[in-house]
Formats: sequence, structure tokens, C-alpha cells
Amino acid sequence: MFEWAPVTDRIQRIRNRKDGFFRGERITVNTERTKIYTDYCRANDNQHPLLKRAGALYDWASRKKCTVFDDDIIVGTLGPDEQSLSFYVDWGCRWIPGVADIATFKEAWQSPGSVYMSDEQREILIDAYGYWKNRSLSMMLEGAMTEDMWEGFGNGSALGSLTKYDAGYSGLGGVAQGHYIGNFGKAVNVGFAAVKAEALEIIDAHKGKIFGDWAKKHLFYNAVVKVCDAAMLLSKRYAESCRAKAANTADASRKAELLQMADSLDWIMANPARTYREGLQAIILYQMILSTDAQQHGQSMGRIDKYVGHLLEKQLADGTITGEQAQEYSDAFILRITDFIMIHGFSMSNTGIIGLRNKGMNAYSSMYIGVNPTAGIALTLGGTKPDGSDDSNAATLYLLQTYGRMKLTDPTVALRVGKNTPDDIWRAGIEASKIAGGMPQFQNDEILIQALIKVGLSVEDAYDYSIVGCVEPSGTGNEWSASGNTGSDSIWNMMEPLLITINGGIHPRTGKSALPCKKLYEYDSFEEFQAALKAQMQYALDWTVSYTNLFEQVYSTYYPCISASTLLDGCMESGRDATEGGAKYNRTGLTACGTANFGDSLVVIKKLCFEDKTVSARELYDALQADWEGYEQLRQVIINEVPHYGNDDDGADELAAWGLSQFSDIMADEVGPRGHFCGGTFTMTANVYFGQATGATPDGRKAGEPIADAISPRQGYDRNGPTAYLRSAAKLPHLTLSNGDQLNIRFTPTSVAGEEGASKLKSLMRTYFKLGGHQVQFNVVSTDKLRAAQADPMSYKDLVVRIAGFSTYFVALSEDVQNDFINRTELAV
Amino acid sequence: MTGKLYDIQGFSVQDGPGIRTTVFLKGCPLRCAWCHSPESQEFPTELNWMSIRCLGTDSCGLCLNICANGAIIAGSLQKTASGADVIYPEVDKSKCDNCGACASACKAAALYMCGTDYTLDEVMRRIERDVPFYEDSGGGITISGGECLSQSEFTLELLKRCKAIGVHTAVDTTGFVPWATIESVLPYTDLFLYDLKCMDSELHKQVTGVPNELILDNALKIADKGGRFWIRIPVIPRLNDSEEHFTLYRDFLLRIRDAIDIVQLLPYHKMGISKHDRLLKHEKIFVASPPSDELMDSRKRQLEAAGLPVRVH
Repeated sequence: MFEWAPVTDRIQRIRNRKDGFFRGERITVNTERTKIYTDYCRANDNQHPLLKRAGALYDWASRKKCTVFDDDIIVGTLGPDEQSLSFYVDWGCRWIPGVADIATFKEAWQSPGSVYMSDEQREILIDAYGYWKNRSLSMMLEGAMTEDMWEGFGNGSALGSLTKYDAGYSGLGGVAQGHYIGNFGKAVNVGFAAVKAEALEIIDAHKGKIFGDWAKKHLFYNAVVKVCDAAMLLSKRYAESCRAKAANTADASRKAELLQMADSLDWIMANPARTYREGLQAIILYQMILSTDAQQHGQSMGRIDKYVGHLLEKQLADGTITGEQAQEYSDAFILRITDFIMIHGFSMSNTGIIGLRNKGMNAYSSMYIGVNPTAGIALTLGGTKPDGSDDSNAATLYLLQTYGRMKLTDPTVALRVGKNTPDDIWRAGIEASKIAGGMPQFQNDEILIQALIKVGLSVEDAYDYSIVGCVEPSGTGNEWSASGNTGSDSIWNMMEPLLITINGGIHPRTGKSALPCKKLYEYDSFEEFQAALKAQMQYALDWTVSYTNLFEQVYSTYYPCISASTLLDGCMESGRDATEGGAKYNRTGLTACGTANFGDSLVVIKKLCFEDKTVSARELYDALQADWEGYEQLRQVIINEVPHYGNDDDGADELAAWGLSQFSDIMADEVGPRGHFCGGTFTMTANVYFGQATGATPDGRKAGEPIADAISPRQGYDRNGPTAYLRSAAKLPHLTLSNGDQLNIRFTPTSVAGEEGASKLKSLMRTYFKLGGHQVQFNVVSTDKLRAAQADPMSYKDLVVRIAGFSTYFVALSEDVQNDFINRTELAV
Repeated sequence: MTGKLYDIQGFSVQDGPGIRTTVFLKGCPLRCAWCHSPESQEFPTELNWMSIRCLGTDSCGLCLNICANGAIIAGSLQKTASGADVIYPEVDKSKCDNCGACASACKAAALYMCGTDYTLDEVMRRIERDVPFYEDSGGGITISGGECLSQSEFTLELLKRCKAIGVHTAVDTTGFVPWATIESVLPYTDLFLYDLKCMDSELHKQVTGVPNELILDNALKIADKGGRFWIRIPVIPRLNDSEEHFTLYRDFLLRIRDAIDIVQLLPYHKMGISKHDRLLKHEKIFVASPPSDELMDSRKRQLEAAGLPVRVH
């Protein structure tokens, strides 16, 4: 019988406060970093970017308010408040005038239910705007856009697709930068004193002997020293705060606890952590450093249990920690991460925020629609050792317990499973995921490790992989995996080249020219059409890569990521920042959206127009132009008589696999300044937004309807049950999708209830993995319950569902995304 | 050899142990009032119609002039679930000979034929695809119905073919077949999913159309010959859900106790109603509120008290 561990009173209090966070109670904005960074950069405008980024970080560590809250056993928040949204004006600040607008300010930021911003904070933003308006990263990106680069805008390349093609280019600003696993293992188990000493030694050895290209390295090592100082200072300042709080605490045991925390904080960051709690605390502090240095999504933590499990096991063995304490520390740690919220202000305005409020949302809760609100801080648990044995440890189960008991949407977590993953880990993972949809997701070690070895990771490093952001596998603490496609959009709509190939090389919506080609009714054979489509994909992806590579230059020139580079394996050795390719491994990842629609569309064209010849290509073309108006019978033939991906039909599955293979093969051949690109497929909620902007497609989809998510069949088209769906999905080229892929599956509660249900879920996943599958995330929730939640959101505020790369509260989603989720087939008997 | 199937379902998780593929054979000697798959009752292939798929005769109408017997005409103006005006076809079942011409013409598959002849090879090809899922979960195939043993030769051959490739087999039966038929499949059947719909023979005849002596007798014989059971009791409000009735169940089940792996209590549900509508039949059918969780639980405990292994669903 599976049982959840009890939740302590203290943890329950902290957890309850997060609910208030979600509802917009007590939630504030954090302008502390804005002020410190603006002051520092203004005063040091002439500094080299490496020194300036490190200097500003150090200044932040020395000036920030280090608050210790009641109930804290793991300290550290980005701002002075427990629950606040952090701004990154240096990444982009065009939104500030729209937010500072005095006529609407109070209504947007100081009315009930809104995220609170004070008048003083407004002044800080206005002041910051004066400095950053022509210096922000997004302006630097625009400054690098030579005239010829605008040509590719709207031609089917990834750029601008996520902003529906009409948001100004300068609205972008590199949220997609980042997407890597920081070297948290080193922060915990080596410490910054040793890293600083190493950098100082190198600097000293070259003192007065800066030859060749050493000057850049000289600057780099000096910046590393500053980051180390910042990390150590931050810890010591929190130690002081703990002592100050202890002095004002009457309760003797809490006083002792705070003093013990102070001792730990004095020790860690400089030195290797000695206990489980110290290890977890060091992880939080380093995350603060990373999340303050840069506004990036997908600053993921990686294999938490691996970094700290040995500390826990030693303590359990020598009796210096109880199971209950270990559980409480694990809970407090995960709950702390939920406070790391960045606000991507790029298109924010008061009128927009007032509009959100009219829909019952605020600037915070609206984030649930598209991403997970933390900075994509993904955790990875479990795994396999290079000798094939299981690599989980005592911490793995405690952390899985946290997910099952806390019902959080964030931070997202992946459970690595292999042939030898023990039953109790499987069971805890499955039970947690039944409660909190998709927490954890399950990643197949067998395939991922092979895929990573294929892209160049050593066997040892491949076995040590973690999951970044949504589902992207990466080396742990040694790779700048950039799996969000640096600076450009992370997700590429595969339906665009398809429609362009049908439409004679013209993008049907923007009218922009891509590669000239025939129209659908002019091709002589399906093979000719396929070849044209492949060329069109290559053309669009070449443009996508061109944008990304241009932006990489801007990042490495003006916005080096010195906090990550300080610890990432390879950077110290090479003396180069991670944005310049200093890490041991380098990739850039892009994800495709539309596998099922793409494959099904090809089946229709191949079968109806070229094989059976029951429909002329001209008729199909005309039907698409008319958005099926007047062609409903043809659409019904397509829906009912043509095979679809997801039903274990080899012909249909083969064409879906062909599309995805073209994508991943093209990506694998593309080269950036640091290394190769790679492809994956996962969609966030972009399948809905892309769908809204995509015209009718040959698979019978009408204009505006959602595209299928990730590698799921089209909504409601998997008619042969889960085994057929999984067999279809297993035929996709998982081994070449080294940027990750994702299989969503939803079950009714009765079909997977209890021990027997858990066992069947496990078998289903294990079999899919044996067939070659990559990843599974499942939701256990009935359509009835989802409909009920739509009707009565307050009663279902805790209903967590896995949407795509992230889990979220169902009631926080917009109605179209909710409906898309409901329309995915519910699988059960 | 062919069998007449009306469905094959993968990831069947309540029809025996593990992950299973269930093969549904068409035709049944019983006519249970609450039947949740009324399309399985008749042996021949028959016409069904699903309103949700239908485009309406005004915008489509492909079915209207195709019927040689004139069984299909345009009906009256109606509203769809979403409030749009629509005219649906009306099918006069008394004129329909189930020839399938209208279903072939219907692009939207709103009119469709239920019941397809499959060869053994075709069914085996489908089953073989699911074998990896059985291996990890301890699953296999379940042959269900209708009454699969009414197509006894096909069922027997299918069971033999499955055993030949090492697949676990289950037969889901009403038990209302000659003993000789059961005896022939016994060596190839790892498990019987055996329905005991009602313990009172008079009542059994009233609600299913047949008495239960043969069914009970066959159960005793199967137990005697070493067959294994999952006994399935559909819990039907007012018919068999009383404590007294369950005392009868208990007494009988204890006679075959050693042959029982599990007793499954299956709460009545209303899913059959919409399927009944699709068959274009208009006679009145049995409707009741599903039994409460409390009732299911107390019947479960009643049988458990006698030492029987019971589960709900």
C-alpha cells in the first residue's frame, strides 16, 4: 500500500502562503535588482561587459535586502519580499512607459487582486528607463539587424512566430536565451573559495604577460573572481540576517535553529556543504546568483538528488538527521523555488493588465497560460549509472514525496527511469503524477543517453544528463545547451513550410516570398512535392539559424553569462564565457510543432491526390483556399477514410516520422558559433497560438484550429487506444531528437486507480520505452472534472495538469487552451 | 475462417489481468435489459447512425436517394447541440435490410455498419502488435462479445493461435452455451470472465430472456475441470443489488471458491443508452440511477466477509 508522508505544520503554513501568491494576495514586484543594476551600470558605463556584468552582480549581493521570513529553514529570495515578480530592465524596457502611465497606474498595480507596485517602485522603473532605453539587450539585438536580415521576417522561419507576426521585433529580447543546467554540483560540493583561488592563480601566472588573445581571458578570469566573491558574500549576508532574526526571537528552539542556519550560511558557498540542508541551501543561493545575473528561461537545476544525496545518506547513517527532517528540508527547498519568478515584461502595459483583471487574472496568474512562472527551473531525479545500475538515492524518494504532497505546478521535475529503476521510485513517481499532472514527467534513460552520446557527450557525461526547461536533455554542469534557441523563438511551426510549399513559395498569410516553388496542383508526383517541401524546410530553418547566430554574437559581446560560466565545466579551462563557447559541450536547440498535422497532411496529398487520384490536387488546393467552405464532404472523407498518425498505421506514421526526421536532420547539420544545432519536438501551448495564426491544412484542419501538441495525434484522432498511439509514437525518430520530445497521454481516474492501475501505467511506459520512446507525461483526470472546473474554477483551484513542457493550474489557463486540453482523447475503458 | 467483430480495443485494463487487447464478437443469445453494448446483440451486421457526426441532409444529403428500399428520408427541422438548425435523415428500420449502401455513401461516417468480418490472420496481426505491452504487464487477450462462444469455432481457433505464441487468454462469457462448447475451449483458456447476472432463474429469464440453470451448471463444471474465474456481477439497481440477493451470490460463489481469482462488482452505468439510440431502435429501454459508492462498498464487504476476493470495477 502506497502512503504519503505527513506534512508538518510549518510546511503547511508555507504551502498555504503560495496559494495566496497565486490569487494575487501579498504579491509584489521586485525593483531592487532594477535599481542596483541601473545604478551600477550608470556609474560604470565604461566597463568592459564581462567586468560590468560581474560587478553589477557583486554590487547586488552587497546591497540587496537579505530577508529571512518566518518559518524559513531554507533562505533566499530574489527580492526583499517573499513573493514578488522580478523585472529585468536590462533585457528590455520598452514596456516601461506603458506601465508608468500615471492615468492607469493605480488601477493596474494598486487595486485589489493586482500584483502590487508602489509609487516608489514606479519611480525606479522610470529612472531605469532613462538609462536602458537604448542600451537594453533587445535594443542591442535590433542594432545588429542589418537591412538584409529583415528579409527573412515572416517567411516561415521561427523568428516572430510566437508573437503572431505583428508584435514589433524589438519586443523580443532573448527570453529564449539560457536553457542550460548550471553546475550546481560544484557549488554544493566544491565551493567558490576553491574556484576563486584557481582563477586568481591563473591571473597571477599571466600578470604583465598578456599576449595574443589572452586579454579576453584575463577579463574573464577577473569577472569569475567577482562572481565568486558575490556568491560568498551573499551567503554571509544571509547568515547575518539569520543572527539578527535570532536575536529578536523569543522561542528557544527557533532561535537555536536560526543560529544553526547562520553557521551553515557562514560556511557554505565558500566551502563544500556538510549536510543535506546545507547542500539544498547552497543550491538556492547559486540559483539566486544565476537568476539575478540574467533573465533567461530554462535556468534549470538538474540532478538535485545526485548533488546532495550523498550528504543525506551519510547523515541518515550517522543519525544526525531524521526522516521527518529530511522530508521537511526537501519540502522547504521545493517551496522556496516557487518564489523565483521573473516577469517577461516585453509586451506588458497597464491597459493589458487591467484587461487581464477583467478576466479574473493578474500579471502573475496570467503567466500560467504560456509557461511555468519560475524561470523554467526544471529538476531532474533518478537516473542510471554507467554500469547500468540504478542511480537514485535516499533524496530521490523524499523529493518525489514533496511533489505528491504539495500539488505544485512549479518547479517542473523529470524522473529519469532505466531498466533497473526500483519499484518504489516508479511507484512514488506515478502516484505523484496522478495527483499533480505530469509531476514528474518520465524520461527514458535508454534512449536519451544514446541520443546524447550521438551528439558528442562522453559516455560518463551522457549518463549524468539532466533535463532543461521542458524536456530537453543536456549535460549536467558542463554544457551550454541553449535548448531554447538563443534569442529567437524556441518553437517552430512545421505547418508554415508545408503551406508555403502548397502555395508556390509564398507565405499564405504574410505574402512574403520564401523559396520559389510550384503550387500544389503543379507538382507531377508526390516525391516532387516532398522534395520541394524539404527544400522549403531547409530554407526556413537556415533563416532561423541565421537569426540565432546573429543574436549569439550580440549576447557574447554585450551580455556574457558570467555567473553560469564561473562554474560550468570547460569555461575555467578555456578562459571563455559560456556564450562564447567556453563550456565543455555546446549545442543550440529548436523545437518543432505540428508532427501529427504535418504527417496527416502528407498522407492526404499522397493518397488522395497521387495514389488513389480520387481528389485532384487542384480541388484540394481550392478547398484550402476556401477554408473548406463548400468542401465539407471532402473534409469528411479526409477525416474518416484517410489513415491518421497515432493509430499504428505504418503508412501514416511513416510520413509523420519523415517530417520530423527532415527537421532533426536539417538541424543537426546547422552550425552556430559554438557548435551544432539540434531538434526536438514539444510545444508548450504554442500549438494553440500557432493554430490561431495558421490557415487550413490538408489534414482537414480548419484555419484557426489548434495544431496537435508535441507528438500527440491530432485531437481526438487516436481511435485505436493507447497501445496503438504509443506504437505510432515509438516509430518517430527519437534517437535524433536530442533536444527532447514529449508524449502527452490522459487517463480517466478509474482506469489507473490503486496499485493495479499504477502497475499498468508503469507497464505501459516501460513498454513504450522498450519500443524506443523518449518521454511520457500523463494526466489522470476525467473530462467531466475538467468541464466542472471550467464552470466552477474556485472549487478546482488546485487541479494541476500537465500541458506541454510544464504543468499548470487548469483553471488558470485561457479557455481555448483548456478546450484544447479537453479535446485530447481521454484514454480508458 | 472469419469471425464477426464489432470492435478490437487495445489497453483494455478491466477485462482481466495486465494490459489486454479485447476482441469483441458480435451476437448474443441474451437480451439483458441494461445491456451497455446493445450493438453487440444481433448477429448480423447492422446499420448505425451517430447524430454528432451527421452534417444534415440540407448541406449533405448523400444518403437520401441511395436506399433501394426507400428507408431513408429527410426528417424535420431540428436544433443541434450547439443550437444550429439541421435536418437529419430518418431511417425506417422496418424497411432497412442492412445492405450498407447508405453507409458507404456517407462521407462523415454518421451512418455506419456495425459488425465486420475478420479473418483469424487479421485479428492475429492486430494482437501481435500489442504483444510487447502484454509482456511487461502480465496481460494478454480477452475474447468478449456479445457472446463470443456463440461463434465458437472462431473463438476456439483464435485461442489456439494465441496460446501458440504464448499469449495469456481470457474468455468473457455469459455461460449460456452448451457445455461441449466450453469444454472445447477450456484447454486454451487461462481465465474465464464469467457473468452471473442474477441468481433467481425466474428473474434471470425476465431480465435477460434466458433462465440461469445452464449458466450455473457450466460454472460448476468449469470449476470442476480446473478452469479459473473472474466472476463478474453487474450490480443493477432494484434487480440484484439487495443484501438478500447477494446472500444467494455468496452461497453459490463459495461452491466454486477455489476456482475464483477475483469477484468483480460492476456498477450499472448509462453508457448503453446513447449506443441504443445509434441503432435507430425506438423501443423503451431500462434506465436507472447508477448504484451509489456506498452500496457498492457494502456489497463488496458482504462478499469479502465470506472470504471472497472482491473488487469494484
